[in-house]
Amino acid sequence: MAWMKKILRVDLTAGTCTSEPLNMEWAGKYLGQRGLATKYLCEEIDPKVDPLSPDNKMIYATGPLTGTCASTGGRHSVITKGALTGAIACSNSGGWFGAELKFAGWDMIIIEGKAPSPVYLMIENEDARLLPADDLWGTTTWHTEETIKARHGDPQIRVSSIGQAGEEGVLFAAIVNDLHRAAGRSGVGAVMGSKNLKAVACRGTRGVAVNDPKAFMAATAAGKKVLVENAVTGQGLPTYGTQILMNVINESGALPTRNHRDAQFEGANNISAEAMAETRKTDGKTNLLTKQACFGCTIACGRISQIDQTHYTVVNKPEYWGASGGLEYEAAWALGAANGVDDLECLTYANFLCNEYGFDPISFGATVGAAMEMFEIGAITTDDTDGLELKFGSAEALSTLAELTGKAEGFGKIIGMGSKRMCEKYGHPELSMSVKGQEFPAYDARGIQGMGLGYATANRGACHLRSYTVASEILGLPEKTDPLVTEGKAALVKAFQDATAVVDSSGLCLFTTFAWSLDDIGPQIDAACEGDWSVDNLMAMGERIWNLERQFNMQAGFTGADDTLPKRLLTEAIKSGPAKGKVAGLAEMLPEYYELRGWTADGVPTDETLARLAL
Amino acid sequence: MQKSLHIIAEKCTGCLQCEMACSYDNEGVFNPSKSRIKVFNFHEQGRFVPYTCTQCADAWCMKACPVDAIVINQQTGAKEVLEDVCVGCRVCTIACPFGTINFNTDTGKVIKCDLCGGDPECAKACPTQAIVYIDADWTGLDRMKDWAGKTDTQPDAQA
Amino acid sequence: MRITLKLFAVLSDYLPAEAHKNQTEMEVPDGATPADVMGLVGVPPEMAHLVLINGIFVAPSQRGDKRLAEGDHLAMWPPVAGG
Repeated sequence: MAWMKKILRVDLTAGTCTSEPLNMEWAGKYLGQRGLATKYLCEEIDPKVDPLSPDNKMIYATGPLTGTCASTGGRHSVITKGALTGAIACSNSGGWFGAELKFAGWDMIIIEGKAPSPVYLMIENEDARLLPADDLWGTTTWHTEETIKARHGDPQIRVSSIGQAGEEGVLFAAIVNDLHRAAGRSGVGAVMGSKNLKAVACRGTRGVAVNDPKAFMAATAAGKKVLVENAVTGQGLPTYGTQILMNVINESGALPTRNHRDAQFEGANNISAEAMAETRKTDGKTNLLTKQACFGCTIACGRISQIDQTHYTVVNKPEYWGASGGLEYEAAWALGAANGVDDLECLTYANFLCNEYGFDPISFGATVGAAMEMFEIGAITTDDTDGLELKFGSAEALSTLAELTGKAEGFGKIIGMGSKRMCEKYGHPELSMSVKGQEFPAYDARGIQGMGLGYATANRGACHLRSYTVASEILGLPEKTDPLVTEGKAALVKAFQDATAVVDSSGLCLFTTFAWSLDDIGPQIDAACEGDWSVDNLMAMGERIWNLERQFNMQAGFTGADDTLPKRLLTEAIKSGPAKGKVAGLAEMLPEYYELRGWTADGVPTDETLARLAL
Repeated sequence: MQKSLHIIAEKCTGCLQCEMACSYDNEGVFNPSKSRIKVFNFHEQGRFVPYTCTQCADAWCMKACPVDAIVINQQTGAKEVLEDVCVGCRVCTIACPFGTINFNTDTGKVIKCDLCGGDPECAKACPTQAIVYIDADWTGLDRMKDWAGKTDTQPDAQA
Repeated sequence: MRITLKLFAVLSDYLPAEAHKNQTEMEVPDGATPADVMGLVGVPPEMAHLVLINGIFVAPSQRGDKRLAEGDHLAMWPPVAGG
């Protein structure tokens, strides 16, 4: 009921696929998706393992609500030890792939070992087999999806795959499903590539039932009503997508620009939601074509765009003239503001490539920004870059690097190391804007103080989603807090982190929380699943999951010293704008945060805390 | 008044709530592979289009059936498959030019949209009103109205 | 006094014709408040969810009290969110 109670275990070394029952005792403590798969990973791998070795495992995990009519009930995550970070990685994706996995009868796929030569996993209901992928290796995610559907004569197959970036070990390689959705961060695509696994294809015709159908239909209907009536989820997000934030964050003075040297970007409104809706003078069309939803989603924040056919990036490439996944705020920021590039069509092209070749636009864009700063100070020269001038603001540099990085060619190979290793290589580790090796997303910690604490303590490295206090600090959801102060942020961050862990384990999309609280989500889970899923139990579970991830990281070698921010954010004040004069006040928030978490002053969960959380 | 299911494709976001509602009503589980309505993704054009049986007045499926297993519901106008009469010969799936009647290997019978007896679940489930259940005689009314509205404000009609 | 008014998303419909890229300079009475400016350009108060003066949030209860100064940037959005 909601859970299919079956795991597919794939041993790539032996070439076997076996079914085993889902551990329902663990499901009762960790629900599904992020929580449950993390538990499995913690039990099954040595946290010290090399992420790119056959001894690492990767888990595709759905939530109990995945594949149900709950609004946004379609998500899945990929859990592994991150290639980019060496920390726990849990990368969440939408689209339709996760639902298909449930319809085929599986809650999770645990993938272990390494195939002797490239393979793809073909799942059709109970039948799962590994098939040769030699002809797919070296091709893009788009080509892979098209080919697999044609080969099996079934247009209804859903595909999740890596592109050349994952094959070549680009450390921020992503896994792309349904053409332009992705398990994007922490290099989960590189892990998949290291296993010689090209793709997972799935077709399911079984159907998902729920424990209490009547209560479930009532709870999900009530939830949908809340989403429709809420101005953000009912109008703002579907109309403008996440890109509406470009001007909001810029106006608030917290838009990291040119590798975090500045906090406002003069070109912000050229790469915003408004710009995407503007009619182009060249062809009379708009960049934004329409909106798109994921499986079960009644919000529809997804963007579909079409590039100007006369733009230099695609003028000789008709294969990019069709519609495809448009810019999200994070991608537009990372490709654009982080590098000072304000050419919307160029950013859209680079975003297409991120999907096609399978790599994270956030880490890619931020790494390019670091490269551009090193180029400016002469630490990188045109000798290193085969003549490419990596100047801030250069659209050509950005689009060229996107092409190179997707295939790990030329200087793209260096970019593919991620900013931490790249900056170390050229003698400027301080210029990598990252935490635990993962690059910051689109909010300057100096201008939004709570985000600084969230970035420093997120278990998967710098991440805006783990604790999206921007909702409170800038948008006033659910309540407004002051972005420029540190008071109260420790408690705020902890609350967001724990609640988010619940949502990430359910199959639902985090964006529902602009309108829903756990009071709206709890009843849906409780009706779908056996067991007592009260809001209190769910909150406790969220805290449990957070600590479980923390334990894994500590066993992997991380300590409290890694809960930090780059020197630039801690000591170089923002020069202008509303946050002028601010640095990240991490030292004011971290001790209180450790205390609230029930951890020692060094950030280690105490025995009492572990016992309280049944860990 | 008889109503029909009307599709307004430009409003479809590809969420598949309609497919889930249809399968849930018919099968008791969420299973798009058993849905009588399907959403098509023309991804190069950035377009989603739901499609299902349009309840032909002079239905090919009904006329082709050798055992008269497809009958008209006089209330709704829907062409309904009588499951206990259907022998699974699939001649109707060949006869229908639109492909909206299909075989169900699990039951050995064909399935098609029957308008849920007059209260179609897909229309209720659609969050953007891309599927509506409206007066069968006037499905074009809203579009007519849109264009009628333009006549007053624009001296030169612009298409 | 002159201020810069920025209206984003659907609120841009309320900008004067000469506005460019969501913003315009405009003349307002000395000591005008965000509520006054909304009245001047016709933005329905319930549509303005996020109001910033020079990037700093103005609480809904303050919109009628907080006085603008010469050269201020007043920015407004309807309910929006992202990630």
